[in-house]
Amino acid sequence: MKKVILSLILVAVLTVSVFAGGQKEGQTVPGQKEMEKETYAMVVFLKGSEFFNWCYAGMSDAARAIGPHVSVELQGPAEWDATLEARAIDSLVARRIDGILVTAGDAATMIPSINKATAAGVPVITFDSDSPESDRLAFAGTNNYAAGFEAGKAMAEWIGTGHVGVSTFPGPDHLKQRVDGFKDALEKYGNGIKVSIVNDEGDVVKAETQLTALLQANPDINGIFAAHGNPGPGAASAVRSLGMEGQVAIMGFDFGMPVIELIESGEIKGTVGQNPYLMGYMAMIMAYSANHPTDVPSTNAGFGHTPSNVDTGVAILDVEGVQMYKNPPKF
Amino acid sequence: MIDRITQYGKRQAVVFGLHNSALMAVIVLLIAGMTLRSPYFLTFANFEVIMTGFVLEAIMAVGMTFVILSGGIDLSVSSVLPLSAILAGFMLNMGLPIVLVILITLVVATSIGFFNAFLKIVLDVHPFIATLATMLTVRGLALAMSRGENISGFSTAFTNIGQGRLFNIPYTILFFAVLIFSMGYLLKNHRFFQQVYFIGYNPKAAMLSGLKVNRFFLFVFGFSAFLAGVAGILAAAQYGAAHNSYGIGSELRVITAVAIGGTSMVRGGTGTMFGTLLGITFMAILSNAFMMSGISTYWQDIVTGVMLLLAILAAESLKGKQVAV
Repeated sequence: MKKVILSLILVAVLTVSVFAGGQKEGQTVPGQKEMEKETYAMVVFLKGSEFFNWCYAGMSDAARAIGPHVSVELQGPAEWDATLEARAIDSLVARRIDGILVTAGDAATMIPSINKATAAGVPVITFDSDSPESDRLAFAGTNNYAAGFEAGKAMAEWIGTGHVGVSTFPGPDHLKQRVDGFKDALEKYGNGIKVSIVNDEGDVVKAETQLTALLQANPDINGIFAAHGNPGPGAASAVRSLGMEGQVAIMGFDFGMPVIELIESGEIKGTVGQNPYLMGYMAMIMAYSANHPTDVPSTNAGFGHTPSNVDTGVAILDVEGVQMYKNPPKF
Repeated sequence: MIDRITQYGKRQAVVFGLHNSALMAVIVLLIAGMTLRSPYFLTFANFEVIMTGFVLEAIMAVGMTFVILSGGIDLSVSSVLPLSAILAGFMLNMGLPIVLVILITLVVATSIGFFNAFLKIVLDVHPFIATLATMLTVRGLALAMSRGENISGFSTAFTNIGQGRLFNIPYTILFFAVLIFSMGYLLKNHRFFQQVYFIGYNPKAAMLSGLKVNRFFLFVFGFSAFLAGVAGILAAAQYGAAHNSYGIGSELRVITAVAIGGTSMVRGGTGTMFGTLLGITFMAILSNAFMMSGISTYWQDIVTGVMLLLAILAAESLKGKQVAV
């Protein structure tokens, strides 16, 4: 008897679950056909920049992965004026766009426009350059401490021990984080590596003079880390003019064309490559998710779930690694 | 003398009736086309976005109209704007009272304009070169002062200037409306402002007929820079921040709006404030139209360029008629 009841219950459960499953499918299939069209816009502060084209390529691929009802567009001024970028967001909200991915040309200037968009129910996800004080739902970009740490780990593997010069400038928070991560990794993976920091004021020429002076004063230097995109070529020419080629391992940052050429000529050993494609991809997925709240309550009131931060990671690129970046997508 | 100046102004008004009607027709077509294309174009929300989105350039265009009418040009407005925003931001964060901050900022801005006039009057440097030099210098100054970082954290009493509203109309728009209508009225009816036509058309003759031409140039460039200073303060208040990137390239949008409005770039002395208002309206709607329809902003420059060319050609052909009058 017990067995009969048990098997009956089992049959009932199976039937219900199959029925329920079938019902679910029955609901989603016509639903998918009638899915409303959605448009998401990426707003950048320098339209035409190769870096942002990579971001947009990621966004386009993510939209394709979500479905044919999602379309995307690239907006933003061709010249870097943070107020123009803010105005672009205002216009998109007036048009009731479904979601906005934005890289902040200036974190503070974007706050009123981002907050207005969020208040109007338009999810805003920042990528690459955050506006942390605003009401944006999430940020997809490089964790700068981790990026510096990866660079430090690679540098420690290259040289093992010795003395490393770091070219950076005081002020920006993200540069401080990179240098902190770099130093921590050297300490962890290296063998008592000494670190000297020079102030390049953000400029390639200044980096060259500062690093030349540093190399002359400290002939034991066997590694240089460029904490941002500019000083890499300056470090290479400082080493070249002192005839120290082959003695100093240079780690650049980002993959601008001058850095790529110097990696190909062997003067720069490697560069820290951020992942702009993934920034656009992850930001798009998050914007879509935020736009579609589920029954599970999220911490973003009125929106669906997003993490607050997504680290899109870095890779240390060598000659082979930089090849793909020589042909950026065009939009 | 007075009669000749007023007569000249009145003749202008007749000639520009044609240009303005044509421009109005283009604007109406643009609005009609966009209304068909997007259901959100003709809404109050978007109307406000159109107005607030171009108000900084619009304010500067009023000053630029006088500059171009007088036969000059002022490229430095795009740098006076960020410098004023940054200067005001610094002083606010030092705790100076708002009224004093505004006063000092406007004095500094205006003196940059006086310097432009000085270069023209005393050293006889063409305004294009003179204001190009000030544009670069002042932008460098703004960058050096801010070191590329934003200045923010202003009190709501200050940001309210850029974000507050009266009868649900933003203060910035009200300020612009009062500015352009009063300046339009004065340009049409007040002798001091009307002399800009004569001076722009033939400065030598104006000087020989006893007009205080140099003093007028001082006013024209000072006023243009003063309004750029106002735009800078309003930008800082509107966005709650000041940054050296503000205003980059805005001098071209301002000049384009004035030129599309029919003020002659080829020779001074022809143009109206109403034309400038239409030029501003066209530019404001056009940039919004591209954002609304999702067409790449690259095309915006192409359309603006073609419109500018058409406007210049129209203004020149109308001037031919005017000679015949």
